[in-house]
Amino acid sequence: MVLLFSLAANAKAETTVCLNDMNSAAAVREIDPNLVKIGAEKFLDLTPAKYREMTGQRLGIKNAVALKAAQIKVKNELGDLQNSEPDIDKNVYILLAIFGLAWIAMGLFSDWDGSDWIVNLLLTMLCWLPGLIHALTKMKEYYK
Amino acid sequence: MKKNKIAAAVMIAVMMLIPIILLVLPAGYFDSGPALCPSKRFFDIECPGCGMTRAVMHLIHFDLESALYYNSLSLIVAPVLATWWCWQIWKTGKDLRRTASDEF
Repeated sequence: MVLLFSLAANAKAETTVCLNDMNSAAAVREIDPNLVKIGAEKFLDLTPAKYREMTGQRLGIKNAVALKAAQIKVKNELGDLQNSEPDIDKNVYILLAIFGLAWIAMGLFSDWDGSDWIVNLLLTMLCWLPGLIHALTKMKEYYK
Repeated sequence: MKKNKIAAAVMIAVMMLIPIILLVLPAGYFDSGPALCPSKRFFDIECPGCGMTRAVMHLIHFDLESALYYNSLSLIVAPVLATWWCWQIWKTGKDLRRTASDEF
Protein backbone atom coordinates (compact mmCIF):
# COMPACT_ATOMS: atom_id res chain seq x y z
CA MET A 1 0.00 0.00 0.00
CA VAL A 2 2.92 2.36 0.81
CA LEU A 3 4.32 1.67 -2.64
CA LEU A 4 0.93 2.27 -4.21
CA PHE A 5 0.54 5.65 -2.52
CA SER A 6 4.12 6.74 -3.25
CA LEU A 7 3.65 5.88 -6.92
CA ALA A 8 0.23 7.54 -7.00
CA ALA A 9 1.84 10.77 -5.81
CA ASN A 10 3.92 10.81 -8.98
CA ALA A 11 0.97 10.03 -11.22
CA LYS A 12 0.80 12.01 -14.41
CA ALA A 13 -1.85 14.68 -14.85
CA GLU A 14 -3.92 14.41 -18.02
CA THR A 15 -3.45 17.37 -20.33
CA THR A 16 -5.23 18.46 -23.46
CA VAL A 17 -2.82 18.64 -26.37
CA CYS A 18 -3.46 21.25 -29.05
CA LEU A 19 -3.25 19.88 -32.61
CA ASN A 20 -1.57 23.08 -33.82
CA ASP A 21 1.55 22.26 -31.84
CA MET A 22 1.92 18.78 -33.30
CA ASN A 23 3.95 17.62 -36.31
CA SER A 24 0.90 15.85 -37.73
CA ALA A 25 -1.06 19.14 -37.89
CA ALA A 26 -0.33 19.38 -41.63
CA ALA A 27 -2.18 16.11 -42.27
CA VAL A 28 -5.14 17.42 -40.26
CA ARG A 29 -5.16 20.76 -42.11
CA GLU A 30 -5.40 18.93 -45.44
CA ILE A 31 -8.75 17.48 -44.36
CA ASP A 32 -10.16 20.69 -42.92
CA PRO A 33 -8.10 23.67 -41.66
CA ASN A 34 -10.60 24.26 -38.85
CA LEU A 35 -9.96 20.80 -37.38
CA VAL A 36 -6.62 21.90 -35.88
CA LYS A 37 -8.55 24.15 -33.47
CA ILE A 38 -10.06 21.18 -31.65
CA GLY A 39 -8.03 19.25 -29.09
CA ALA A 40 -6.10 16.14 -30.03
CA GLU A 41 -8.29 13.89 -27.86
CA LYS A 42 -11.44 15.26 -29.50
CA PHE A 43 -9.87 14.78 -32.93
CA LEU A 44 -9.16 11.14 -32.15
CA ASP A 45 -12.85 10.60 -31.36
CA LEU A 46 -13.95 12.25 -34.60
CA THR A 47 -15.85 10.13 -37.14
CA PRO A 48 -17.44 11.14 -40.47
CA ALA A 49 -20.84 11.15 -38.74
CA LYS A 50 -19.59 13.44 -35.94
CA TYR A 51 -17.98 15.73 -38.53
CA ARG A 52 -21.33 15.93 -40.32
CA GLU A 53 -23.01 16.85 -37.02
CA MET A 54 -20.37 19.49 -36.25
CA THR A 55 -20.16 21.22 -39.61
CA GLY A 56 -23.29 20.15 -41.45
CA GLN A 57 -21.12 19.09 -44.38
CA ARG A 58 -20.14 15.66 -45.63
CA LEU A 59 -16.50 14.74 -45.25
CA GLY A 60 -16.23 12.95 -48.58
CA ILE A 61 -14.72 9.56 -49.36
CA LYS A 62 -11.16 10.85 -49.89
CA ASN A 63 -11.18 12.87 -46.67
CA ALA A 64 -12.73 10.00 -44.68
CA VAL A 65 -9.74 7.82 -45.52
CA ALA A 66 -7.40 10.77 -44.87
CA LEU A 67 -9.07 11.32 -41.49
CA LYS A 68 -8.33 7.75 -40.42
CA ALA A 69 -4.69 8.10 -41.50
CA ALA A 70 -4.36 11.45 -39.70
CA GLN A 71 -5.88 9.97 -36.53
CA ILE A 72 -3.28 7.18 -36.55
CA LYS A 73 -0.51 9.79 -36.97
CA VAL A 74 -1.88 11.95 -34.15
CA LYS A 75 -2.36 8.93 -31.91
CA ASN A 76 1.24 7.81 -32.43
CA GLU A 77 2.58 11.31 -31.87
CA LEU A 78 0.43 11.72 -28.78
CA GLY A 79 1.76 8.41 -27.48
CA ASP A 80 5.33 9.59 -28.05
CA LEU A 81 4.63 12.86 -26.22
CA GLN A 82 2.99 11.15 -23.27
CA ASN A 83 5.65 8.50 -23.03
CA SER A 84 8.61 10.83 -23.36
CA GLU A 85 9.11 11.05 -19.60
CA PRO A 86 7.61 8.04 -17.84
CA ASP A 87 6.97 8.52 -14.14
CA ILE A 88 7.85 4.97 -13.17
CA ASP A 89 11.32 3.71 -13.88
CA LYS A 90 11.51 0.81 -16.33
CA ASN A 91 13.24 -1.40 -13.76
CA VAL A 92 10.54 -0.66 -11.18
CA TYR A 93 7.92 -1.55 -13.79
CA ILE A 94 9.62 -4.90 -14.48
CA LEU A 95 9.91 -5.59 -10.74
CA LEU A 96 6.22 -4.78 -10.25
CA ALA A 97 5.39 -7.10 -13.16
CA ILE A 98 7.44 -9.93 -11.60
CA PHE A 99 5.66 -9.44 -8.26
CA GLY A 100 2.26 -9.45 -10.01
CA LEU A 101 1.67 -5.74 -9.41
CA ALA A 102 2.07 -4.40 -12.95
CA TRP A 103 -1.57 -3.38 -12.93
CA ILE A 104 -0.70 -0.65 -10.41
CA ALA A 105 1.92 0.79 -12.76
CA MET A 106 -0.51 0.53 -15.69
CA GLY A 107 -3.23 2.26 -13.71
CA LEU A 108 -0.88 5.08 -12.79
CA PHE A 109 0.30 5.45 -16.38
CA SER A 110 -3.25 5.71 -17.70
CA ASP A 111 -4.48 7.69 -14.66
CA TRP A 112 -6.76 4.72 -13.85
CA ASP A 113 -8.54 5.32 -17.13
CA GLY A 114 -9.03 2.66 -19.81
CA SER A 115 -9.09 -1.09 -19.49
CA ASP A 116 -5.38 -2.02 -19.49
CA TRP A 117 -4.96 -2.19 -15.75
CA ILE A 118 -8.23 -4.13 -15.25
CA VAL A 119 -7.22 -6.64 -17.94
CA ASN A 120 -3.80 -7.01 -16.30
CA LEU A 121 -5.32 -7.46 -12.84
CA LEU A 122 -7.64 -10.19 -14.17
CA LEU A 123 -4.79 -11.89 -16.02
CA THR A 124 -2.57 -11.73 -12.91
CA MET A 125 -5.33 -13.41 -10.96
CA LEU A 126 -5.15 -16.28 -13.50
CA CYS A 127 -2.02 -17.70 -11.85
CA TRP A 128 0.32 -14.71 -12.35
CA LEU A 129 1.98 -15.76 -15.66
CA PRO A 130 -0.63 -14.33 -18.11
CA GLY A 131 -0.46 -11.03 -16.21
CA LEU A 132 3.34 -10.97 -16.47
CA ILE A 133 3.21 -11.64 -20.23
CA HIS A 134 0.57 -8.94 -20.68
CA ALA A 135 2.61 -6.46 -18.63
CA LEU A 136 5.72 -7.14 -20.70
CA THR A 137 3.87 -6.82 -24.00
CA LYS A 138 2.39 -3.52 -22.82
CA MET A 139 5.76 -2.23 -21.64
CA LYS A 140 6.77 -1.06 -25.14
CA GLU A 141 3.82 1.34 -25.14
CA TYR A 142 4.92 3.01 -21.94
CA TYR A 143 8.64 3.12 -22.69
CA LYS A 144 9.23 4.07 -26.31
CA MET B 1 -37.20 -36.16 -42.26
CA LYS B 2 -39.78 -33.77 -40.89
CA LYS B 3 -37.25 -32.51 -38.36
CA ASN B 4 -34.78 -31.73 -41.15
CA LYS B 5 -37.46 -29.91 -43.07
CA ILE B 6 -38.33 -27.73 -40.07
CA ALA B 7 -34.67 -27.03 -39.35
CA ALA B 8 -34.07 -25.98 -42.96
CA ALA B 9 -37.15 -23.76 -42.93
CA VAL B 10 -36.05 -22.11 -39.67
CA MET B 11 -32.55 -21.64 -41.09
CA ILE B 12 -33.91 -19.87 -44.18
CA ALA B 13 -36.19 -17.69 -42.05
CA VAL B 14 -33.32 -16.65 -39.75
CA MET B 15 -31.01 -15.96 -42.67
CA MET B 16 -33.67 -13.83 -44.37
CA LEU B 17 -34.32 -11.95 -41.12
CA ILE B 18 -30.69 -11.02 -40.34
CA PRO B 19 -30.20 -8.47 -43.17
CA ILE B 20 -33.68 -7.06 -42.59
CA ILE B 21 -32.88 -6.46 -38.90
CA LEU B 22 -29.52 -4.91 -39.81
CA LEU B 23 -31.22 -2.62 -42.31
CA VAL B 24 -33.90 -1.57 -39.82
CA LEU B 25 -31.30 -0.74 -37.14
CA PRO B 26 -29.67 2.70 -37.47
CA ALA B 27 -26.36 2.81 -39.37
CA GLY B 28 -24.48 3.95 -36.27
CA TYR B 29 -25.90 1.21 -34.04
CA PHE B 30 -22.51 -0.48 -33.51
CA ASP B 31 -20.44 2.73 -33.53
CA SER B 32 -20.30 3.15 -29.76
CA GLY B 33 -19.23 0.58 -27.22
CA PRO B 34 -16.00 -1.18 -26.34
CA ALA B 35 -13.78 -2.85 -28.93
CA LEU B 36 -14.22 -6.63 -28.89
CA CYS B 37 -11.14 -7.51 -30.92
CA PRO B 38 -8.50 -9.10 -28.65
CA SER B 39 -5.72 -7.43 -30.66
CA LYS B 40 -7.19 -3.99 -30.03
CA ARG B 41 -8.11 -4.76 -26.46
CA PHE B 42 -4.84 -6.29 -25.26
CA PHE B 43 -2.21 -4.66 -27.47
CA ASP B 44 -4.00 -1.52 -28.73
CA ILE B 45 -3.10 -2.56 -32.27
CA GLU B 46 -5.83 -2.57 -34.91
CA CYS B 47 -5.94 -5.82 -36.86
CA PRO B 48 -7.15 -5.89 -40.52
CA GLY B 49 -10.60 -6.92 -39.30
CA CYS B 50 -11.01 -4.17 -36.73
CA GLY B 51 -14.03 -1.98 -37.45
CA MET B 52 -15.41 -4.44 -40.00
CA THR B 53 -18.81 -4.77 -38.29
CA ARG B 54 -19.24 -1.00 -38.18
CA ALA B 55 -17.96 -0.62 -41.74
CA VAL B 56 -20.30 -3.28 -43.17
CA MET B 57 -23.20 -1.80 -41.19
CA HIS B 58 -22.54 1.61 -42.75
CA LEU B 59 -22.03 0.07 -46.17
CA ILE B 60 -25.39 -1.69 -46.19
CA HIS B 61 -26.91 1.70 -45.31
CA PHE B 62 -25.08 3.16 -48.37
CA ASP B 63 -22.86 5.38 -46.16
CA LEU B 64 -19.69 4.79 -48.14
CA GLU B 65 -17.50 7.41 -46.45
CA SER B 66 -18.11 6.01 -42.95
CA ALA B 67 -17.59 2.47 -44.25
CA LEU B 68 -14.23 3.42 -45.73
CA TYR B 69 -13.32 5.29 -42.55
CA TYR B 70 -13.97 2.29 -40.30
CA ASN B 71 -12.42 -0.33 -42.57
CA SER B 72 -11.54 -0.01 -46.25
CA LEU B 73 -11.55 -3.79 -46.63
CA SER B 74 -15.33 -3.73 -46.14
CA LEU B 75 -15.59 -3.07 -49.89
CA ILE B 76 -14.27 -6.60 -50.40
CA VAL B 77 -15.78 -8.30 -47.36
CA ALA B 78 -19.37 -7.06 -47.82
CA PRO B 79 -19.81 -8.51 -51.36
CA VAL B 80 -18.18 -11.77 -50.21
CA LEU B 81 -20.60 -11.93 -47.27
CA ALA B 82 -23.57 -11.16 -49.54
CA THR B 83 -22.50 -13.92 -51.95
CA TRP B 84 -22.04 -16.38 -49.08
CA TRP B 85 -25.46 -15.41 -47.72
CA CYS B 86 -27.17 -16.00 -51.10
CA TRP B 87 -25.32 -19.30 -51.55
CA GLN B 88 -26.35 -20.50 -48.06
CA ILE B 89 -30.00 -19.64 -48.71
CA TRP B 90 -29.90 -21.37 -52.10
CA LYS B 91 -28.22 -24.44 -50.58
CA THR B 92 -30.65 -24.65 -47.65
CA GLY B 93 -33.57 -24.15 -50.04
CA LYS B 94 -32.25 -26.96 -52.22
CA ASP B 95 -32.01 -29.26 -49.17
CA LEU B 96 -35.55 -28.29 -48.22
CA ARG B 97 -36.88 -29.09 -51.70
CA ARG B 98 -35.01 -32.41 -51.75
CA THR B 99 -36.41 -33.36 -48.32
CA ALA B 100 -39.91 -32.47 -49.55
CA SER B 101 -39.53 -34.55 -52.75
CA ASP B 102 -38.13 -37.51 -50.76
CA GLU B 103 -41.31 -37.60 -48.70
CA PHE B 104 -43.36 -38.40 -51.79
